[in-house]
Amino acid sequence: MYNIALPKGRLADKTCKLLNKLGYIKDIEEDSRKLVFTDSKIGIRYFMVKPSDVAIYVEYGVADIGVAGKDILLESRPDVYELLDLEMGKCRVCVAAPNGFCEDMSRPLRVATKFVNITKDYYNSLNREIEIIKLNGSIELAPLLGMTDVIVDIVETGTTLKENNLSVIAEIMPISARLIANKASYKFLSEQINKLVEDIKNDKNI
Amino acid sequence: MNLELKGLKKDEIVSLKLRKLFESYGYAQYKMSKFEEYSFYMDNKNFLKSEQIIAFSDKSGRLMALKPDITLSIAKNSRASEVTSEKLYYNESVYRYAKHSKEYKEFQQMGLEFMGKIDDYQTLEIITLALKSLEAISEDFVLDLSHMGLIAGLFELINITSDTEKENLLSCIVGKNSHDLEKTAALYNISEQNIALLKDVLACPNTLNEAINFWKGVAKNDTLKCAVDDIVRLCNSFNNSSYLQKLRLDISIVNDTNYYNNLIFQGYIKNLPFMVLSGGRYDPLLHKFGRNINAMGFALSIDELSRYFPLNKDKDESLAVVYDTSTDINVLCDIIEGQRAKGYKVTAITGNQNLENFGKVIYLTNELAEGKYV
Repeated sequence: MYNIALPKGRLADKTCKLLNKLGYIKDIEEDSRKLVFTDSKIGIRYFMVKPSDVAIYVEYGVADIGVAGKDILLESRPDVYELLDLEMGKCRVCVAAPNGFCEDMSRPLRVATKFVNITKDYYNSLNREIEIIKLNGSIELAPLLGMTDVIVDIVETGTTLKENNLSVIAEIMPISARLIANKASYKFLSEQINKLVEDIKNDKNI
Repeated sequence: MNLELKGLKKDEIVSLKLRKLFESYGYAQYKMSKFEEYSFYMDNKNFLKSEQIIAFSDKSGRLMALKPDITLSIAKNSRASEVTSEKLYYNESVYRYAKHSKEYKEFQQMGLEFMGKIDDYQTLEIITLALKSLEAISEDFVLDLSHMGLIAGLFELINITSDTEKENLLSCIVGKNSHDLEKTAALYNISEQNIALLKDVLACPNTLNEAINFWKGVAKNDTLKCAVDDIVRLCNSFNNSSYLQKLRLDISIVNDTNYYNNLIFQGYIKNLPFMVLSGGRYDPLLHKFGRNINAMGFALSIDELSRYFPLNKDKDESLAVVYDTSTDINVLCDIIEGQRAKGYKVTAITGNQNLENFGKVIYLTNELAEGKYV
């Protein structure tokens, strides 16, 4: 028996469908509120967790494998193996600002973001001094209310930004869902885990 | 004196077993003070897993640190020479920052260091000790081996010299991250052929013989040939050993390139979600301290063992002796000692306390409760 942590939300559906197609999950319950489900025949237990928590469950070994966004991995830097780019949940981490924004280089740039480490690394690489305000949601509000100059956030279609009169002024990096594994679990389950990786690769012709 | 292991927690049992094991190979215990100068750790921060150290000012205003590591202190104070070796083991607390709880914690670390002249036998002995140390915890374990020369030789082979490029490629190797390795390598204009080689390195099976054969095929420069040769000589010594099945070769285990040369290794126990043992050969650290000697050792984290190997609490072992002001104190003492001699864990209780957790109760009070032992 091994354990897989899957992210709730937009990735949950896609990953469950993929695993079902490959025979790793049978009979997904639609709209189920269950957080843990076990397929004893196949020998896998799944749990649905908050996307930003997947890496923690994997690091602690409660989940042997997990699916986590590259943004979460770069931000929290868990000590795990990153075995595969699932090429799902594709989006970008970008800097966005109010339309027509003009940066004042004479003072530190104030940035609202969930991604403190990614933001620091990016602006360090530009040698730009910044002041970070960490927010947990609705990041777009910050520059609209004049609390910050810009935001660093995930952009998918760009609709949310457009609707709030914000636009992308720089792309930091592309993001996608990754398959991660607990390092210690991998030492004893490498055959099963590698098989899962191969099955996904073959399906996606990666 | 034979100490009964029953009732001892897993980390206590393992400490005792390891102490006996280390001493049986001629290691002497090293006791160190809790503090070192903060600057000592800052000068060697790449040797430490984390820069976050608990610091404080002592009475004379010196900035001191609660020790985050033992090896550095042993290496600094070593009296070994090329002629006289020093074999020390320790069982000490270290103080580190716990990432998830976001606070400093005390960890128990047990390990050993060999300083002096390291030859093939000494290497074999240390690896054997690492295997036996893991075995003292559980029979289901693996020891991953690697060699810093494999990394260095690989970078030489594909012509990577920049520290930044090495660091970025290494982080992909450490994460077994084949997709980002390919992208990063392409960014550094590494040839298609060498990118394929890097991917093959990551995909290399970790079973010992297959991995050794793979690296023999890759070893096209002296650095790689020496590294492979070191590994082969070590592994040949295990050919007829039951430990052969426990050994793997895995390049994804990497220690700091400034301090570690030669062999490195990491140990894992089944169902324990963290690395239990970590070690390697770290001659460069001694050279940094101006000592021309070899050094090799390893450390085990034994704190969390009790969580993953919990003690089965046997309620039947617990006995309560209920007494009150009417109880003759000498009778009370005799009963307690008598029951302890039978192997019970005895608690003397007075007043109206909850007796649910006790397997047996003896009443020495005036009012006898029905159905209870006297």
